[in-house]
Amino acid sequence: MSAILNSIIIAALASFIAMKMASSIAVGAARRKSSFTVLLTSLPMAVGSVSMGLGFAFIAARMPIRNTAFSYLLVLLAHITAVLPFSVRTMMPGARRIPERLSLAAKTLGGSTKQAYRRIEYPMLKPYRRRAMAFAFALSLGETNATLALSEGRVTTIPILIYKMIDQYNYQGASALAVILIVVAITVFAIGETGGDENGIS
Amino acid sequence: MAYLECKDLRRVHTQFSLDVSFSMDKGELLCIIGPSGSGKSTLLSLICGIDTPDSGTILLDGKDISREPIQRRNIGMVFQDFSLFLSMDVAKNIQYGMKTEPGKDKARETERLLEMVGLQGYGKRKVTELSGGEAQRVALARAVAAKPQILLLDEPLSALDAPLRKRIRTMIRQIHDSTGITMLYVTHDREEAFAIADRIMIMNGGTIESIGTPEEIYHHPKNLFSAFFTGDGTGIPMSLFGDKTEKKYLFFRPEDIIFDEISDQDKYVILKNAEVFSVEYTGSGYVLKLNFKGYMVTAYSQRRPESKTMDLAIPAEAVATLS
Repeated sequence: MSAILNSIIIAALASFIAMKMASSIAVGAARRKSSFTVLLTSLPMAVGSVSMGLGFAFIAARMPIRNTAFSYLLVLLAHITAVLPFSVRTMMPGARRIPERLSLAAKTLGGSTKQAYRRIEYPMLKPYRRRAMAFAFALSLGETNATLALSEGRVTTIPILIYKMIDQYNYQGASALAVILIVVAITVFAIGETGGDENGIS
Repeated sequence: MAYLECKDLRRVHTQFSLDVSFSMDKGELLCIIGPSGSGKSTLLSLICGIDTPDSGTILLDGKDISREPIQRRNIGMVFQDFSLFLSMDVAKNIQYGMKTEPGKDKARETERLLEMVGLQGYGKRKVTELSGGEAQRVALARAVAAKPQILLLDEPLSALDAPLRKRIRTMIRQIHDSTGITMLYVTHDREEAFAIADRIMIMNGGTIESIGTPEEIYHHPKNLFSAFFTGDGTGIPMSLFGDKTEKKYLFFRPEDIIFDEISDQDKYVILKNAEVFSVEYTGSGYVLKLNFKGYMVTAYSQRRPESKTMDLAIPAEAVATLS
């Protein structure tokens, strides 16, 4: 039960934080017409989650702290890094479709760039944010390699438990968990794809 | 002292450069007209702060704003594509930059502004549900709500159909008169400019061709470009009348041409034996195209011509010598 809870908490936090970061990255990149930022945020995709987990493990090795909360934080950071490229890429088409004139119009009304982002551009990304979050949630839910490298046995998620069960020849248990994983992922995808696009561009 | 003054304002792009100097008074409505690529929108971008000039200054009420960021200029802008905020309803759009006096209720002020643009009760509507005309009126109310020192309007009616354009341009003039707000209005439609402007500025190729009241611009154009850009007319080279020294033209408007017999010929420019080329009935009269020594003369007449050739007389005071 704790593995299911851990998976859901980590996936929810990672996808939410990644979505927030991806929104501002995508809007900033679209405003500057920069593909470099998008390229930079895509790097974790290229290195693979094991290498990324290894990188985080090197950093963790230099830290004097060793407890469950720290492992939890490391796993969360690794998940955010892993899902961020997908969140940014999901958000980019929406950010590109926001007319540049809207933030200019906001500025002529005395608003700052930050205000324009918070009150105008961010709400317009609503359908894209929902999709990015669903996508990131599903990815985080299934993440195994980085979690395995960083958890040091202190944080157990559904994929880690499945891994352990297979190791112990408990195929029924592993299958049951896999079904739970699939059901949760499908539910989240469905939520991401449904709902109105009110106030947003689609 | 001028309220807005652009001094030697220059902006150089790869294939276009803008070089203008002009000023306008407080409470004035100045229309900028000119063909596409004449620099009208570039000029608005510089004044508004979207773009930065390479050199020159923009003084607003005596303060140099040339390098100020957009949000600190207190210059409002109404865009051609309305640029309403989709995430907000009509009222929230208007309240975005609203400046209210102490003790004044924002909701009440919003309703007053909506009433001013003829959209009472539209506050809770989504902006996606508005028609083009309604959206532009909301954009106008939103810009006025921020109490800008000057309001720039960049072809605000060009996305609307003709009858609606006429209605909204009248409304813009009424808003100008009731609020006393200084307005700089860009349009490519000369009729629109004539209808609402205190003064008109004609731009071409990044420079100002002429500036003056609509009457001055129409009846006493400073050059051939301004003359033709502000209405129908005919330009006939002076060389046809024996003056071969300069490349100058005699210019006159179609409504100034007289077809009747005249007594005092010294007070008129006479074009003898002009051949009728075409006759178009417009409802209120006829538009005639006449060939005079290879040059096409446009004339308005109340009667259909009865002969193939005609003598045309234009009062000397209605003829301008332009280059």
